[in-house]
Amino acid sequence: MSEKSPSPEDLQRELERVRAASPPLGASPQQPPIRKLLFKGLLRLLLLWGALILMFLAIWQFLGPSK
Amino acid sequence: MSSSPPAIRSYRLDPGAFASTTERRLGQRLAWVLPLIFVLVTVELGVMGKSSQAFVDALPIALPVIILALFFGLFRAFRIQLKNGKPAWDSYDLTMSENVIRRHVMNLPPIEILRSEVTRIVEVKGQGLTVATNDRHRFVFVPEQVLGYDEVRARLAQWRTFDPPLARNRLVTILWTVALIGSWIGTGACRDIRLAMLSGAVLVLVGGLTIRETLHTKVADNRTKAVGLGSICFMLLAPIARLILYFGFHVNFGWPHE
Repeated sequence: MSEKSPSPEDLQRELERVRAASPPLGASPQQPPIRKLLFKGLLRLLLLWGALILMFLAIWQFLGPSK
Repeated sequence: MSSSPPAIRSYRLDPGAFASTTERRLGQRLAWVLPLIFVLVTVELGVMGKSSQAFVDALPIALPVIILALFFGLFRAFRIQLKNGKPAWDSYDLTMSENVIRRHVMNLPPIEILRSEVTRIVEVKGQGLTVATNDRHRFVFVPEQVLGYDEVRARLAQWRTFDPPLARNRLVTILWTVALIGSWIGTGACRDIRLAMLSGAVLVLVGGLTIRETLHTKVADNRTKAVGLGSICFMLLAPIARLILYFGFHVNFGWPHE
């Protein structure tokens, strides 16, 4: 490419123009921080596993001895 | 100043292509996830079945629960992807000038790359173009579903010649997945507690690096990151659970069966 590379100032100006041309995304709902989401997710997972283990134990209690 | 300002244009994704693209991508993922799950579940059941008669007795109950849980999980993931992916799809904006490319999607930090920073432009037919830099977390993906894709492609072709995708990247992904899931299974399936803990150490290392990569990525929003991190945290519980069972309850199991 024989083109002259633009100066840093020109690039900065071009970047600002690109930012200005980028249409605003509108009011997108702000996501909660990752730590909060992770805590909620792990709590749900723990509850789910607790329920599954209890269910297995209950089924085992009823069906296990009848073998 | 005699030169005219560089042409700046914005491009959006085709709103009508969302459902078909998402379904196709999910289908492609399922094509290798389902066989993988099948193999893993079979191995796990085989090992557990060999080491415990009680486990074999419980299989008629456990198997339908496992299959149901699996299908419920896949169905839910499918629905969530279709429901939550649409706002992000609609918000995708790609703005280009002669020397700058900027991608903006809701809930993600915008990515701006200067022409001089581009190290590779990779083209994958049927998917799109990836504009890469020296920083592997800083790249812009231009899907083929962008309205005006041919124009973007022509503009990027002036930046540098396109490269084909590296087979090495796919190999690394496969090896990484095998290391993560293999060490997880090894932690639970090795009868020798020392081997199980060695497997656990590999799991902690690979899992820790995966967490680090997940936190640094700029292509996933917080919700997606939290799901991924939660899954890895859950896997990292395996060595702890194994140690508690072994030393706390004197329970040992796994392969080879004694």
